Amino acid sequence: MKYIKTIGMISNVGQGRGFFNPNSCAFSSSGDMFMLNSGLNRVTVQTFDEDFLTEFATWYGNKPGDKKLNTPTDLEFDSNDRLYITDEVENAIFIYDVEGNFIDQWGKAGSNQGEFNGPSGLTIDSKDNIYVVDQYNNRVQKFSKDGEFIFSWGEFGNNPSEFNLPWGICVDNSDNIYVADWRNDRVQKFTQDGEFVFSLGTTGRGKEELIRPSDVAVDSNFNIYISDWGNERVVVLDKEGVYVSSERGQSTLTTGWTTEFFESNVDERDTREISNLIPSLPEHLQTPYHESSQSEPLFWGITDLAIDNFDRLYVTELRRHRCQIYE
Amino acid sequence: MSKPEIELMAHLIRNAGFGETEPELLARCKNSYTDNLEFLLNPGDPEVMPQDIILRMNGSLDEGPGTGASDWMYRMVTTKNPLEEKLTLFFHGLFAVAYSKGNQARSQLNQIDTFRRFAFGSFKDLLLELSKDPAMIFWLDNNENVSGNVNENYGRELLELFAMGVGNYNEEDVKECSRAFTGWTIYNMEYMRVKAIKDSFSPFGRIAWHFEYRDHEHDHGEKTFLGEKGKFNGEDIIDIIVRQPATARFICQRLFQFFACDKVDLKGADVISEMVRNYYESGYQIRSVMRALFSSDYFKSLATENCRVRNPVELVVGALRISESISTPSPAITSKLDTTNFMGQGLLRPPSVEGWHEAEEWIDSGSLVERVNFVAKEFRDSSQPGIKKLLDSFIGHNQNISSQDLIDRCTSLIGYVNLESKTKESLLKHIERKCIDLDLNSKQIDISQLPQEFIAELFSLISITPEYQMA
Repeated sequence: MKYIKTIGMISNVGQGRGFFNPNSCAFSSSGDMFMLNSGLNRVTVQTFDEDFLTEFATWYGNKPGDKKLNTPTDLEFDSNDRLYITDEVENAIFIYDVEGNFIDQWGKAGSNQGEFNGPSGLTIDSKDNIYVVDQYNNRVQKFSKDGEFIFSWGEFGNNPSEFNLPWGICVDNSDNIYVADWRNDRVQKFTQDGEFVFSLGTTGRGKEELIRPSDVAVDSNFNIYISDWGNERVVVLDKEGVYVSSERGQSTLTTGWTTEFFESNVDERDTREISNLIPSLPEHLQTPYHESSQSEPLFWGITDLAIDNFDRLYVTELRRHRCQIYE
Repeated sequence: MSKPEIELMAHLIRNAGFGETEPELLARCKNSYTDNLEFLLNPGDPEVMPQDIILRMNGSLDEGPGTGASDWMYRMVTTKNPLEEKLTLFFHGLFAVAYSKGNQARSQLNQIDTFRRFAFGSFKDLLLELSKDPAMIFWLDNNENVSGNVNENYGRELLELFAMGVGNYNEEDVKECSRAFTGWTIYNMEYMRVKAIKDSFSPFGRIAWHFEYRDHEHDHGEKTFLGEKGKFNGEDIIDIIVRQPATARFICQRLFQFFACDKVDLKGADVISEMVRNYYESGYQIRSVMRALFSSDYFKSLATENCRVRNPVELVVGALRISESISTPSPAITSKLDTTNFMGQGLLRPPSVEGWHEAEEWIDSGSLVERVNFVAKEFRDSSQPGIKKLLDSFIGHNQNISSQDLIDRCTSLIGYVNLESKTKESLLKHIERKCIDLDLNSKQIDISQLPQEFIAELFSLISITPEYQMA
């Protein structure tokens, strides 16, 4: 993985440029980046060059008919630039157009077919079928683009095709499905029909081990990227699932928003310049969590991995209010 | 087991923990008092709500004062090691640091972890860790304490509020103590200081703190402290402090008042003397001191029953543990935390370096209303799993019991609350009125005919009595 740049900066006013507890990003056909913010809910739209374009589904309601979110968790575009957002408390899928206009919603609480108990990850295949991780029901449900239930698979457990609080999900270019089986410390691969293919990872901090993976992404060469949430890193595997490398993060300041912030906050800029932002820590703080809490460049709280139209990997960090981009 | 045995266990758990229900107490009573005490003093796996679940459901929980405290509240409500959390709470009050200055909930939670890690260990080790704790360093300006420009804030409070008490040292000792802690600061101090003062999240959120010793900022000269001379550094100062009789007396009395009785009478003073003896014999181990307290005949005689006002956090946590209304991460935790704040004890937000004014000062007209309303609501809510379990214990008991027995049954179920006769009389009248309404014989009440909501209401009424509000 080669670091390219970072997009982001905290915006705890929840309006305008910047992110607040971002937890997922997706790309429209024109390449604009849509970031889902779970702190002061909203979707912000910006370019790769950090030009802030607009926001919608805001916590404050910025236009008539705006559909507010409750506890949004993931978002994804279909081939028609329709944006799908899961909301784990509303137990629903909200749909917006690329301009941010609310179109529709479906789903309700329950454990029957088509019902949800904490929907989290969502992905869309080449035929616009929608796969939703139904977190507390420990299953994946497949829907048509119109929201019609097709089938589901999974139940609570740790055998193949079973789940324990699954979180993220993605589809590769052959429409295979990958699920971050969060509390089983593994990623499972399935066919588009829900047939188990293989499982990746066992519990631990070693190079082929995982602690609570939150999401997974697959690039055009079928390399697999796993956000190893409990180890605060991204693990890279080849298409067979063989370990390639891992990355702890190397964020720099952004070329736009943060640089401008420091131009008007010189006291912070000057003292920051004489600081070591990746310090050695006392023994009792030598865990990935504490290291990330004390080391700004490192990943902290990765909730989403996304691949853009140029095969670049976007790593969204809920706790650092930013997205690190790699190729 | 006999009723006195259960009552003694209830007394222990109310003070060493947060109180327990009758079924929990009966389970404990399968082992001896001593065995239970040793279990409390040597805790194993706390089996608290898993941190990964909390973080997943609550996002960046440890960023703000309220949300950061909820992380700890979840732990207190679910722990199997109540004394460990209670001691942690004690040290949070004794070594009071508030969010308002550093704006660093993550570092405060790290401090709380430190109190937990050293809760049963050596007081010397704890004071040393406290002196290196970044939240404390920033709170009392020790990051400004450098050779040639001494800041006495930490040195003074260490002696006055944390370890010895006024009258056991002089101004010169404060100065020399402070000189010894020059150079004890936080890493990236200059940047962290600017961010804290401006309460700046930017650009990428908070950066948590850790300790740094800057030798070039330390005063290496000779010092005279409490009658001893040497080129003391901070470690030497702590070593001298913990040897002082005033220190032993100070920490033992504070522990006695927090865990046994607000006021110290003559017999209580004897217990404190025994605690002091154990302090020295064990090499300053808090575990030994606590063992001496809870093993004392004075404590076991129930002489200290109901002579200590429950602090707001233990009152709220105790009720939540019984009602089981918080069993998974939930936004409701915020309102529970707010309640402790309204009662005068905001976690991570003590009012000053002096900590909270305790004992009778927990009670004023405003806080009393909050205390009464909170527990009454928790105990009255028959939909909560814990309350439902207690109510279910009446099912199948189709026997006729007197109003008096009904009260005894209810007080036992919620932790063997020892009501005074005047309080009982009021409750009896209430039951009699209800029986008239329901056309029941109050001298022989058929429990199956009594609405569960009414029994929950009795729990609720018992919880608002002075006897329940005390420990």
